[in-house]
Amino acid sequence: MNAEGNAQDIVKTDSMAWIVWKRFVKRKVALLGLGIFAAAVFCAVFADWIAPFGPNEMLPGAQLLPPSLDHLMGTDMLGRDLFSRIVHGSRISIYVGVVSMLIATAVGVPLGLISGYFGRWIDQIIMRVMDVMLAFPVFLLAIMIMVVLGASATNVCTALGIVYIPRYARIVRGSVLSIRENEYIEAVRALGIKRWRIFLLHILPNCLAPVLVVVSLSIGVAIIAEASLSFLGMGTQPPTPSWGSDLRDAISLMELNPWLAIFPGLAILLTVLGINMLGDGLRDATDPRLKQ
Amino acid sequence: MLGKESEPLLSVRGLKKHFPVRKGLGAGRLKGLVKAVDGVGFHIEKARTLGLVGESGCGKTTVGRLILRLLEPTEGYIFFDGLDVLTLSESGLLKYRRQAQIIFQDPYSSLNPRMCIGKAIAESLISHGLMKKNEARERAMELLSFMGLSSQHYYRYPHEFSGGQRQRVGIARALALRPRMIVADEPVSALDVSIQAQIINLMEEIREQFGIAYLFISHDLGVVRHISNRVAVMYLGKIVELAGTEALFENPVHPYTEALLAAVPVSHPRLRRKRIILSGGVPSPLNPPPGCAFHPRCPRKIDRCQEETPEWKQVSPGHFAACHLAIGG
Repeated sequence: MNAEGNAQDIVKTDSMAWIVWKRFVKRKVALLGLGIFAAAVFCAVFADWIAPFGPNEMLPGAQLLPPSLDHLMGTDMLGRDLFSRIVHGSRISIYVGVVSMLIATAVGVPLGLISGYFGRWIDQIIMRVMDVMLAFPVFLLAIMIMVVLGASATNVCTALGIVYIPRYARIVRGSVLSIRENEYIEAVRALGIKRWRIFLLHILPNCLAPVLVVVSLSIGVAIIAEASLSFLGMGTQPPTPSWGSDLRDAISLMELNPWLAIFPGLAILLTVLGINMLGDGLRDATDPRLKQ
Repeated sequence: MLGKESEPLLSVRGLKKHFPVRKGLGAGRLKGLVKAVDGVGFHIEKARTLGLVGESGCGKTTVGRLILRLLEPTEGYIFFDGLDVLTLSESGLLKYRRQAQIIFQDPYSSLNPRMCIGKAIAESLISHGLMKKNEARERAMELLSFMGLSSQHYYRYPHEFSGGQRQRVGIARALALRPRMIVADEPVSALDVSIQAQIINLMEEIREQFGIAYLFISHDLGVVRHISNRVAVMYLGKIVELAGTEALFENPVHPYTEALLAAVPVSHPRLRRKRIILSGGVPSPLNPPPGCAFHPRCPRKIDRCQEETPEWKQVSPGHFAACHLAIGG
């Protein structure tokens, strides 16, 4: 047996978060996804500075102009600069995408933890309620809730948040159940570690990684759902700019003014694609089975 | 000397663990009982090693879990240093856990992948309120050095280590609380043979230095012979023979023990033991044979064996067996 150095010689090596980050950046696709998402968030935050015009600023005599240097994405029927509308529209999309998932995780994750950890009748009750909610397709349930709440961007957040609660609860519960069977949990029980410590330090950190992945992938779904609801007129109401309502306005004019539909569509496509790439990257980076 | 010194550290009597098998999910009708452990008794003396051997599924791992109360027994008595382990309060159980620890078979799954190994070792000290964080960290680093790992590895994660190193971490973790007894559940079965020897020798040194008693569970008779003072042989939930190591290996009494020993390879490549091949397979613990559970496969069975369960008899001083053919000493 050799005696090694002092406490001062200790070098703190990579924490798990850093290791995940290193693995994440190795994949170009993941980085691209992160870049796209970051760009979208940047647009949302700094919309006022990025957009050359206001989103509802109607420029006289500028109706239905095709894309040009003055108007990068052209103008719509009311003379509003489409590029500015798209940039401002990202606010709603990001806002709804992130906030709805925050609501869903804030409620769904604890429910899943409680269900998985305590088991028995608590588990049964919670899961049966979740099952009822899961029986409805995402979109249908969202519409139903919107009908009750009324149309607005914030209500979309709430509706989507509610719809996603059971999905998170399920995932977290599954995680907890499988982690509980691991030998290292038995090991810490044998050591006499207190239950709350086992929960906080051993169960929780190991079940968060799947949640992180699902959250990132779900934001994309939420963005599409918001756009769809707005497209139907049930989501964000004018004058607030939304990619979905832009698409809706563009339908009747699409033949002669295709850019009115192309750009909002592209915005949705790229943002969601970026988020999916981000989510995939996170999933690969946090998978403990992949060799480094 | 009479008195406390001569009393065994751990004393187990009539230990049973029956798992109910239910028809349907949850609380359905009872279909049967898996008698994983069906009346086991033994004792372990201070700073001594009792080897527990048997085939997979004989219940030896379950015995290990039972004496630590990681599983609750269906029946039986467990006494540790005079304390009735089964009636301990929560705080009493916590104190017991400080004295009785476990090392697991699989070094890959017995460590939390998201906790650095130093913290894993120090954790028990903090949780029991024995030390503050800094002190516990110092202690963990000492243990790491003692195990032949660098104290600089404190902040590393399990995936950065080999199987043998992880097992050392597991042992360090078990030692942190300075237990008086360690249940070693196949601690080297998952390791390369060369590493096995290292770990076994390490465990021996630890036992001598800290006076720790081991329950060494294994199916590897060679290793058990090397490390144990006494050995118990299990079959289908019961102990069929118990004796000092050399006595068991030189003069086995129970036919099952004989067959097990005959299966141990001899180190010379041209020599082979005279094998006793047992017919049939191990019966299901759901439906053990009547009388002596071993009789369907026993090469020396007589009529009595399928009618009467054999008694636990002393065959010679310190040597016990449950077989009708064994002559009481």
